[in-house]
Amino acid sequence: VKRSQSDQFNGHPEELLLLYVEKLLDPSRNQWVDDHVKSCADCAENVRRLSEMTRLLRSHGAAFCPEPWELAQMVADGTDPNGRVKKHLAQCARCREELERLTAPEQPDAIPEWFTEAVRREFPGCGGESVSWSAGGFFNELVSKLAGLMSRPTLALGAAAACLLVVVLLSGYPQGDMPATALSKVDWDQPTSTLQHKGGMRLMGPGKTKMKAAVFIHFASRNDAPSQWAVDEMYAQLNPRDALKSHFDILSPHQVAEAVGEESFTTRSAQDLSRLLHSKLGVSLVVTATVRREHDSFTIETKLMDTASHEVVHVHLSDPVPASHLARHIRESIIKALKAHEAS
Amino acid sequence: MTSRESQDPDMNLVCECLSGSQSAWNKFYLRFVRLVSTVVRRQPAIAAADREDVTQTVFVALVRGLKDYEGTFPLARFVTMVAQRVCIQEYRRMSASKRSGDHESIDEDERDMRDGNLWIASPATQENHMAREELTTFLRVALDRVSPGCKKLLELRYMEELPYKDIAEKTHSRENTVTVQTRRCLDDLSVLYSRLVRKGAAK
Repeated sequence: VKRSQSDQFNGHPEELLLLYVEKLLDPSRNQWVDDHVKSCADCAENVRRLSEMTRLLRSHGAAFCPEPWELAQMVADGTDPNGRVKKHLAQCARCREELERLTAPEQPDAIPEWFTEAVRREFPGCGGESVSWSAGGFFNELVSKLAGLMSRPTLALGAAAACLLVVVLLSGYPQGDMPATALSKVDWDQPTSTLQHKGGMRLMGPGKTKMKAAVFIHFASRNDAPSQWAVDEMYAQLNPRDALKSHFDILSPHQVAEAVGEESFTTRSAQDLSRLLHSKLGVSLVVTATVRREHDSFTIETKLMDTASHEVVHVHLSDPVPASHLARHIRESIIKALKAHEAS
Repeated sequence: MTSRESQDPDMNLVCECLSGSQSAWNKFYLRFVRLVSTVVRRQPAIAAADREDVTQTVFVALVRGLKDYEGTFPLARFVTMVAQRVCIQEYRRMSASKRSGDHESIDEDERDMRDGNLWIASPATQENHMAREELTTFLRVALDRVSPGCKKLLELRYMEELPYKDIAEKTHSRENTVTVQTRRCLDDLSVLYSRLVRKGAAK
């Protein structure tokens, strides 16, 4: 055995060294490599180096984790070259935990005094105006800056035009305390139906029909809405098709966003959206899960609306849930609402 | 402001901050507070009780040092680099003051309740944490420098701990090929890692 193995590996068992280090060789080969390593300085050095690297990699698993800024970039704008971060997240509980912390909703009032002081010390001329992310706050800040220009007649006309432009732009964009419905391009596996079914029914067999339904995640305040990436994750986890496939044909978020014709967030009312989905896609039921902040947690108000009559046929308000469980609770509330309707 | 700046939201925010707008700074704080606390939490040498103080020091350093951001990489990366540097400085400062006896903090993460005992991290333990974190950083940088195929292979084997047989199935290769490739990747990694450790030690 020794001679044939020696011939096969040309004197040095290089290809077996890693398996030797990881104790994956059968006893006879292991013995042969062991004997060889004891008498060969080169192979002994290779074994030492391989042992060190495998030990380091096993004991420093965090070296495979993306840097915190890579997670933050993915949360902020979806940047993830080759999907590396997402793939890693599927395997790493520690990074998933970090991601949860990074996607926690912002707390706009939480600017600490020491930070404001540090800015004032570094920038003594700094106004120290209070922060507001609402459309009104931004608008007010802009108006106060433009007011200075208005005192100079030659600039007054230009400033007025700028104000008008800002009003027009802000009226179409959901910000601040305004409620907003989150849209997403997430496509749940295969579309359940590619045909348009007017009337909201789909034949299932003799005497059976499926009702066409759509679901929305709605935020009572735009301030509480997370990034688009987190919204997409929520919609991805929301997929209720399997739980409801016997009675409902549920549109994917992608189909809904296409029909609404807008991306990310919309300020259209629930009634407007349900009317639109009824006329465009024959949706007969719309479920809206409205997320509202209650201090450090959130409540979910689920409303089920009949799109033909615009009647709300089911309402449920959840107990407060932490941000980390929000997606799961939204899914459960929506399934509960549709099952209650199915039972009635 | 150049046209590049006007198109780059990171650079726009930096310019607004450097012009002294408090609301821009507030926006900066809200955008990065979770990132900074994540970086601080990742440093095992920083005791849980000290994290808030260190986070505060990071932001003060960012207020002073944001002018150094040139926009050649994402602002989040710059914030992370500053936060990591401050963590090391703060750890050294805290260690020095602990040695002189004027700083006391209990690391909640280091409490070992299994035997009903409260064990507090000693300076030596925190020094080990720091050394370990440094090795992890060297290893991370070395892994970023091997080929993407190698990194993937090493991740499957040493992070996911998959047997070679399963890796071969996943990568549509022969098991023997996978072991040979893994060995070569470890050789590459070893060269890069040793180089980084030598450079680090020389600093």
